[in-house]
Amino acid sequence: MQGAPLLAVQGLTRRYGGFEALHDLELEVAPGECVAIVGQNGSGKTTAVRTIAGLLEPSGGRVEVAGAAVHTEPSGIEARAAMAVVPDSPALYPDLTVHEHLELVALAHDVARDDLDARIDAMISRLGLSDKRDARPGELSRGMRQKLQIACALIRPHRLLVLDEPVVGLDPASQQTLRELLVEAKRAGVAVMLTTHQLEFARGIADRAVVLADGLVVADGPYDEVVGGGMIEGPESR
Amino acid sequence: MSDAARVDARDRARTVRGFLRARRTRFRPTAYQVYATLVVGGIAGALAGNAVSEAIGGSLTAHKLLVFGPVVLFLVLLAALRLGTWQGPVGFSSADVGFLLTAPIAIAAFVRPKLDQSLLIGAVVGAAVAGVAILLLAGGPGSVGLVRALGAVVGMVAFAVLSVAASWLVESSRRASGLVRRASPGVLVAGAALLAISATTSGRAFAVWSGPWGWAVAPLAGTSGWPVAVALILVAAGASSILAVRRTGAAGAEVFLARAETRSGLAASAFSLDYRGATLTYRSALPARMGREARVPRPRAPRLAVLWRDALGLLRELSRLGWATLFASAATVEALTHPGRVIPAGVAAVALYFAASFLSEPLRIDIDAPDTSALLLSWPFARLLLAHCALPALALFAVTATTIVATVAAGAAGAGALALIPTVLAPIVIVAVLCAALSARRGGRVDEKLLGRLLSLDPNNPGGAAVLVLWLIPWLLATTIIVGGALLVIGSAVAHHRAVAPAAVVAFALACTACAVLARLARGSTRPDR
Repeated sequence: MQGAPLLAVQGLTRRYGGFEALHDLELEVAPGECVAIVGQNGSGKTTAVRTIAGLLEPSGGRVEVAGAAVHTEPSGIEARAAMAVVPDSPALYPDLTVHEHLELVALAHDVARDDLDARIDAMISRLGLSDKRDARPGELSRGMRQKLQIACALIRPHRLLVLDEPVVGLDPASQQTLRELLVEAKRAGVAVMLTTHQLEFARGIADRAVVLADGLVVADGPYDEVVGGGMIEGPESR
Repeated sequence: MSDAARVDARDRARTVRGFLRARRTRFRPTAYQVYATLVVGGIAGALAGNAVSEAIGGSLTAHKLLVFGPVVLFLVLLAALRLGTWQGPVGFSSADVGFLLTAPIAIAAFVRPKLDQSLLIGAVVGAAVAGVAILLLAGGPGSVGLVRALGAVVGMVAFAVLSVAASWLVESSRRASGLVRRASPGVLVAGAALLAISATTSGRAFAVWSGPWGWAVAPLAGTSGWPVAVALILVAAGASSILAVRRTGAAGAEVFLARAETRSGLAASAFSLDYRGATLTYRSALPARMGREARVPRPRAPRLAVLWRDALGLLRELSRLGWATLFASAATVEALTHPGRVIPAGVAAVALYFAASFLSEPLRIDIDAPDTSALLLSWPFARLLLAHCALPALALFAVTATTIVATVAAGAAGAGALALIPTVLAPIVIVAVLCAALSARRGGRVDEKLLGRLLSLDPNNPGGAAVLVLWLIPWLLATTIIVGGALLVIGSAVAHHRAVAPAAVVAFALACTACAVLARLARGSTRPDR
């Protein structure tokens, strides 16, 4: 851990009617740390991410980002200013181009206007979308749309980066680029929380792994110990 | 958050909205599109006007307004509240939720303009409805008088604003949503009772005390004290609007994300003409129920497995039984109190079909995922389909028989009606249940090849439209013809004071023959491919 946690989750519970998708989750992510949430389908990963991101209301517990509570206003505004989220399924404006999506994010997040176009172009180029700068989402593949979502998260100022299944649809080269971007973010002191089914992708980035099963934390520890120690079985271990 | 930061965030919200407005693809209709819309709108408007005129039996009179107006507005308000439980007047796209509502800007800054827009649209619609009502009311504004006409417009505008504001109050509150969902069936029954009461009274004072739905009608109907009613509805609309505006920050992103996902699901289902998919999407949008699940002791005989499963499903979703009871009782009362009339008999048959449809949900679930039942039960599909008909038939028989007894006891039908219970009631109920089951077998999706053929039909050919209707609702039509026919045969004998026994025999023979044919069709049905 390096300093006060940027993400602090206390007793987070989420119910859908009588079904408890997430039970009493406790989690802290420090600046420069990366935590991978892993687990099978239906284990509560996406519920956890959506609740932490403020897209779902918790049934119990509390989430703080950079010391600001996510689910109350006006502290939620401060929390949102410190957090960038890559959702599991890209939701884009069908009538905006790739460049315009990034412009919109810059406007909404009050990104400094100096050299904005150049920075947007650099981000687009880094993620291999230069050819699609003026393309609309309908002209993009699933992987390209995912890259655009990642670019939108990275272009805005953030201290916590939350990614839900970020490599779905990405080719190996793009996965490598994303890995490099996440390592750079960690070095810059950004706290990273990601969920993934691809355990090999998180190896080398994630410092810790939290294993969810039926909404409960069943393991929490150093990534290599948890994933490599047989606590969970990944595709590569079969 | 400081005041300066708050102002900055508001400015940013405005800038972002402006950015999106400037880049949105705007629809610019051609002159031909405008012309075609005007022509089609004119024709449709004239047809709708005629239909309204026929429905209300000629021109709109003050008395008719007093009888039907408050009830219609009551239902409009209820519909607005219900809409708020799963959509409501403020909506964002999934992209809006991801890009705007996760930005460091107060959500209220994005909600407020949309709420204002909805209130404005509501006000315009209210004024338009008032205008049409004034024109229909005994020959136009001249007969109403300028002051009353103005009062009518103000009253309807205020009512529309009240409805929009109330819908947002429901949308923005999980507790209010739950309350509206739980209370609305009872409120709907109360609305029906209101209609029954208002239809039998002169109603002069009724509109004033009844509530906002009555206050809005008062100036149109010219009840004494209508200015007071207008003042009351204005106060109600103003108070609800202020409350609604104060709650612009009350809803979190989850409310809008759930609604955006529902809209996307509904649009996808509508695009592929998948009305079962649309129903499932709508249901998934409603808040999940809490509480303990009902249990039914497991039967020992394997042949009772489906009956047990259906009973369990019904007890766990009692609203289906409630709606089925409502429709079946209404069908029975309609048939008994209007014997020998074609439209009531048809309405009763349609209502009975819908009652059976509510009870056929477990069969639909099996058809949604046919592999599940194939794995759990090694029965042929036809046996499964028929087994799923048992509980709906028993439940509908019990409800309709009880309603017949109650109607006779209330004096609304002669004691002779009791003879229907041991005779024609069972085959009539079975016809409705079998038709609903055969309709469910189709799976609620349009066959693409058939759709292609239908779309290639000549639109000028009325036969093509008939084929389309027949294809879309064959089993509803079959129920209407068979059940409606049987009811009409018996009802005619009652209405014309002829001997009922021969008519009952004919109706019984008709229903039994239909049962046999439908059961044969059901026995020949196969498991759907998915």
